Amino acid sequence: MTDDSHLMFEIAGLALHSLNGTLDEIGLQRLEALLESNPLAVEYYQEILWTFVGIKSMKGISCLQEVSNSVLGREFWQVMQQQEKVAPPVEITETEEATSQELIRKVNYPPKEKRKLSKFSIFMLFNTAAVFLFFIYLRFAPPPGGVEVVTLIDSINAKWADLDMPMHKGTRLSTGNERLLLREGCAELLFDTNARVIIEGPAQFQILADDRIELDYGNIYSSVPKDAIGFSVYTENAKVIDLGTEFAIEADFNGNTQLHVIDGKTVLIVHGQSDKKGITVSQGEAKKIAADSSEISDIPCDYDHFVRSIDSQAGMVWRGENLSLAGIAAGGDGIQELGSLASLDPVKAEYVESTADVYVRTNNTYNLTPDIKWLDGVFVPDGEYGPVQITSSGLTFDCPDTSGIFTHEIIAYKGSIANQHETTPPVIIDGQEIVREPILMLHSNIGVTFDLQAIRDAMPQVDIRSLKAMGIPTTESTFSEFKFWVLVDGRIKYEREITGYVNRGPVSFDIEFGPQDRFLTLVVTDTLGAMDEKNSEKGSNVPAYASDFFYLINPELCLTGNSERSSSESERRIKRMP
Amino acid sequence: MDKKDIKIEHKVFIGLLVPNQTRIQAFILTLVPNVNDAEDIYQETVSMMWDKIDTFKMGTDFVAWAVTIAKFKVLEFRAKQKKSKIQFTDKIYETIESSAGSKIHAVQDRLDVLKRCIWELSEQEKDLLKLRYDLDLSFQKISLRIGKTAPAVQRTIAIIHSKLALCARRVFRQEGLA
Repeated sequence: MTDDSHLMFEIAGLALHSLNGTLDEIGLQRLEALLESNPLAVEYYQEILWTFVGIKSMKGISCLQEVSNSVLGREFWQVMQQQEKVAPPVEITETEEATSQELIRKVNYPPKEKRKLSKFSIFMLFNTAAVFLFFIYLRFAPPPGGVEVVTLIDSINAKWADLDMPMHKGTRLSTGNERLLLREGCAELLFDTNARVIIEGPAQFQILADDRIELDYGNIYSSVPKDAIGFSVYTENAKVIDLGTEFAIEADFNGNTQLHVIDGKTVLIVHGQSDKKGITVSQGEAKKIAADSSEISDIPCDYDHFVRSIDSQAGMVWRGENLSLAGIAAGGDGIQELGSLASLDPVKAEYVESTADVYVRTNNTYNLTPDIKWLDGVFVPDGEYGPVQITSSGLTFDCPDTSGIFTHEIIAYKGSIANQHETTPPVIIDGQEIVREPILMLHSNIGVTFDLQAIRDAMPQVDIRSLKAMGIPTTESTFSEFKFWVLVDGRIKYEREITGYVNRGPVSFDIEFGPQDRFLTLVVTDTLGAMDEKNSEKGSNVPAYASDFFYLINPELCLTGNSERSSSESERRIKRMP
Repeated sequence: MDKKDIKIEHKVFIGLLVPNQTRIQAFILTLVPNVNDAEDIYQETVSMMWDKIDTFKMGTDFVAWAVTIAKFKVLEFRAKQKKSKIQFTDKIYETIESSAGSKIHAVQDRLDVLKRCIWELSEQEKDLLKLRYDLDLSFQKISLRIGKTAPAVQRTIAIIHSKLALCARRVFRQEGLA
């Protein structure tokens, strides 16, 4: 019976799409039609999933060398294109064993000769054997202090105490009696079982085994993949067994233990109790175990307290917080607190002392910002001459006609605006200016594009889930008429027209990203020709775009598992606005 | 109870789970072919297995017991996601479940053969698998790295998977395995 390689290939394509979460309704219908009409398709479908599971379970394609440039080879891709049409099966050659068996014939051995060894030869033989065994022992004997089971893979500002060996990237750590004291800073450890742990000092700990660590005091965050289920953390009064998850533990000097489960599930066992009395603690839950009484109490799960990722090259310490888009617009990483006001010129594509209230015309180009961390570029949108380029890859946007003028740069700030920028009105809600949240202010006509892929490259362990923000036009009683757009890879994901005199209610949005989405663009466009009638009556002839202020309050890129945060006080006040 | 006793108790559960987790994961993935959903269901299955470990009799078929729990968790998932996610119809689901359940013990044999089939791939094909699975790069990242479009990368990896699956079937037929 021969297999149907075309059918197998079609099933493989559909199944892999499904595994990645990219199978649409039409694809699913096609897959179901195949499975329903052909029993062979069901077998093929299982085989494909088993190959997927098999490869994932192997912990590495063990017969590969270093990834070479071979994948760039044109010939390889031409062959793949041909095979897409035919997809022939892989030929398995006969094993050497099977081949050699056919060739085994009767062998005539020569008669044994008696050999005599002199006393000297015997002496040398024993000596050689002893030396050989000694070197074997040196090579394979466990080092003093235990077995190496952990690698130090990164650290930031780490200061270790009382160590005989240097601690740097690649240092191997052993089990044994030695307790390690991290006086300050953070260290990232990778166990041989693939469990990853970040320790924040001051902390004292001991490696117990390739799946076990004891924390005397300090903070520890663990990320445990499926194949490391069972990884355990011991403290003075508790033990936590992982069931495939992310969790964090704080052990204080008094012996109290806190467990916070960021994702997945764990089992918490208090010392003195059997494993069966362990309690399951799940995502979003946290428990405290008191030192003296071993009583367990519920506490709020703190997503932002523990260091979850470090990158010494980027100087980054991430505690799970979302990334501030205002902070990124100011040239930062969105984690550090926003410092002084940043004013980004959309034509010069650089930070400037504000030139607000000077009418500057667009240069009709997309202006790259290669020196600004996670920005792609900036522009002044005007659709008069056709679609407007909005990304470095050439994506365009069918922008409406605008005046082609901008009067205010892209402004990112925090705190009272009066001390920082003369001509930008404050955002006032319930009689109070918003000062605690970072704000990204966009005035028509402005466009700014963020590079999500650059963020992913810098933080590969993180998944950017969505953009979450509240937007509010100026709260002063001026006339404004503009439109706000959010685009992802050139596709409109959100648009809102703002028009009128008095306070308008806030707008809020939560835009999800796919794993392939790269460019996030925010655009504010004026309404060409609109005039401020109120001021026109007074003869001031003020164009309507003069008051097109749009404030994004605390715009955030929500990262993995972070979208369910509670709102800040300012966000709650804004939500209460009519 | 001291630390040594705690270690033995949980070690029994882990000792049963770890050698069989690939089979359980394969079963779940066959019914819910989405990596993220299958992972969630697997975690919940393991959690429920831990809670109910007292109901498992040592010496009996651990995988069969685990699969019973996994089926329950998959059905729970399907009921919850009925409106929000596209998923197999009940008829297709039953067909796949029946087939997957009867072949669960063949998974390990398949995986052993898979290693031989991977060995026979070209170096370029192995390189591509390594980029995808060892380095865990998305199709987009691979495409940026090698200068091809993401859909082209995805199609090529589908070809490699289909080659491996056909190879495994061929070996089984040639060697007269079940």
